[in-house]
Amino acid sequence: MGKGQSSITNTIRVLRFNAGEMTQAALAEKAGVTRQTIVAIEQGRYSPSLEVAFRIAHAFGVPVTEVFQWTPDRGEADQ
Amino acid sequence: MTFKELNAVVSLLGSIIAGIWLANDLMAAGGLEAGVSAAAVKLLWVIGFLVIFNIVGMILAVILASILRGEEVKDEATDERDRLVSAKALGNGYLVASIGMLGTLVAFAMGWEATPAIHVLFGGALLAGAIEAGSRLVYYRIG
Repeated sequence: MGKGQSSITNTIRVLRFNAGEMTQAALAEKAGVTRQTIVAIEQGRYSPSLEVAFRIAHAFGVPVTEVFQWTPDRGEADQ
Repeated sequence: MTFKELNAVVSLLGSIIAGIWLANDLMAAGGLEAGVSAAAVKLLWVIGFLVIFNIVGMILAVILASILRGEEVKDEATDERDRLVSAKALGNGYLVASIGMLGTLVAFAMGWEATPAIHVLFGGALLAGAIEAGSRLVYYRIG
């Protein structure tokens, strides 16, 4: 949802696996959002607010850059 | 399908059914010949239908979805994504409602009688409701 969402990727699935196969519901509760929102974020259909991004990173005990990555578009990368 | 998606489906279905009924009524002989008061009463009944349809429809949809899924379908607390989906869907609905309002003014400007003009206004609001519900569904399902 929103422009540029495709250039934002995340490693939530991997981090959940590494956290003892943490469920989406458990992560949702820790991040203060619904499970559907975690599903949408994980699938790249929704880019969360900074606060939720930090909450998710905090739930895994890692920096936010380890959860979310942003790749500039080709035109932006050339600048 | 989540509770919020079910709610969007029921709202959309209600708007479609009301829209089809209204279109049929208008196309029937004498559909536009009744006075403004009679037309307003008819449209109030449509609003009443929509309210009841949404309540009963949601109850039935939740029961059916719960049976099919094998667990109770519950509404969850609203979060930032729900608020964003709602805001974007309302924006789409508002645009259509504005066009309906404009259409009503144009109808009056062209010398239409009040009865058909009130139907244009109501039709715009009904379509706006359908667009809002449809938008919610699309934003939830596709993103």
